[in-house]
Parts: sequence; structure tokens; C-alpha cells
Amino acid sequence: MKSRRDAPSPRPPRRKGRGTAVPKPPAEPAAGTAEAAAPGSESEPTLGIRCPCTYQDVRAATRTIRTFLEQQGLGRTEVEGWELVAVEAGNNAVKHASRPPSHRPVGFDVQVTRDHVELRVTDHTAGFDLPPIATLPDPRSEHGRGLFLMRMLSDELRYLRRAGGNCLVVRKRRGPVQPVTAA
Amino acid sequence: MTFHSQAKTLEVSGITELNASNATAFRDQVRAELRTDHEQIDFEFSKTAFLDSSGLGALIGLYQSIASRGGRIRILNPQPQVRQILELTRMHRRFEIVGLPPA
Repeated sequence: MKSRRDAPSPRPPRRKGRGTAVPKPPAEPAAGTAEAAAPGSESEPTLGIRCPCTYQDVRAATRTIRTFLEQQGLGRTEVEGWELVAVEAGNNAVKHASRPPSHRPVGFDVQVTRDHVELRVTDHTAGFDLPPIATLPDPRSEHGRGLFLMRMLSDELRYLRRAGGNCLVVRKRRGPVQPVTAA
Repeated sequence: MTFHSQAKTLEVSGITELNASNATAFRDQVRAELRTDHEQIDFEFSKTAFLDSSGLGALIGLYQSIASRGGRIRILNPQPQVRQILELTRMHRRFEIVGLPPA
């Protein structure tokens, strides 16, 4: 079994300001820019993506996040949960972006530690008040389940209002390390 | 996405993913295929690898359309991720889920 800290090879050169940079997987050309600190480096594995503020680009970015988490040895159920959380958070950033459509990117930052995974999604919206309790809407409603799903699939959810972009922080304890299969 | 009418059932298959970028078009396409004599919509989801809350919202909209005339929706062979979101949101109580979860 490979540990989650096994490094992919070859390791790309270090990029200024964001640790070791790993090229974005080629299957996701529309996801904007992605940078990752490689597993096995001194710092914890991280991934940063800035993508255009569209549903299509958010979806592409979250596929990159999925691949990154798989490379860290997270199990299938965990990875699928994080993929859905990232999609819901990103979709909210697009849906509530300022009108006319925002040209400011949606940011995804993922950090994987020994015990936790943390996702930070930066939006450029008017912000919202995060309800303290997860509730489902009327079953006939076509909307309003995104936050509920994020709550159900995480241990901690916070929303930070900031001048340079609000930030949704999602955190969850890791499950058992899974075998990493070669790409 | 492909459609097939079998008696009073509209069968929908070939959906690889249902998310915020295609949910509205999906819902409109299915509604356009829906006849007044259809009493059931079967969604063949064995190839559907991802569903988000927007896609779920489209399914709920279609459910509202057909349930208003006494019809129902069946989700056939959903993959684990799809099954999970249906169960977390308790929509498995509204849609009939057909097909055993994988071992």
C-alpha cells in the first residue's frame, strides 16, 4: 500500500508563493488555474484553483479536486462527498454572484492533513447568513438543498465575510487511508 | 439523452451527469417529451455518475408535473453517489428507487 504522502513523479518545479506546483490534470482544461503542493513535500498537500464564475467551470474545477483527493488516498465515499460539497459551494458562488455576471473568479483551496480535509471556497457575492442548523425545504421545492447537503457531509461549516471575497470554510475529519492506485 | 415511450411510461436514459449547468435544459427536454397520457417516468441512472442539488431540483420539478395527475417517478439503478443524495435529502421517499445498492 502506498501511503498518502508518496510523491507523484516527476515532481514539478516550485512556483513562487504557493509551494510546489503540480500541473492541473489534462482532462480539466476549463477549470481555470490549479496549483498543488505535492504529497510528500514538507508542507501538507494543498490544491488551489481559480476558475471563471460559471457553472461549467465550477464543475470542471471540482473534478480536479476529486482527482487531487483520490491522489491523497481518500476513499471513494469521502471523495464523492467532497466533490458534492465543492460543487454545491461553487454553484452558490456562481448563482449569487453580482449582476451583470461576475468576471471575478471562484476560488477553491483544499488542504489535506493527517486528520482532516479542509475546503475553502471564495466567492464575490453580497454574502449570506449561514443558518446554524441544517434544514430541508418543503419537499415540493426545487431549490434550497445545497447548504443542507454541505452540512450533512461535513463536520464544520463556517462563512467568513471579507472585503476581498467571502469564504466558505468546510472541514471534515478524514476516514481511513485508502490504497492509492497509479494513474 | 434518449427517450422511449412504453405504454403509459416515458423512459429516459443516457444521462451521464445532472448538475447546475444542464439541469434546466434536462427538465425542459423531459417535459417536452411528456404526453398527457404518461403516468410514469423511468429514469435509467446506471450511467449517471453525478447528481447535485440543482439536478435533484429538476427531478423534483418533473415529479411535481407528473404527480399532479397521479403519476410517479422511478429512478432505476442509481450509482452510490446518486443514491446517497436521494437518501440524504429524503427524496427516496418520493421517487421509487429500483435496483439494489452495490455490495
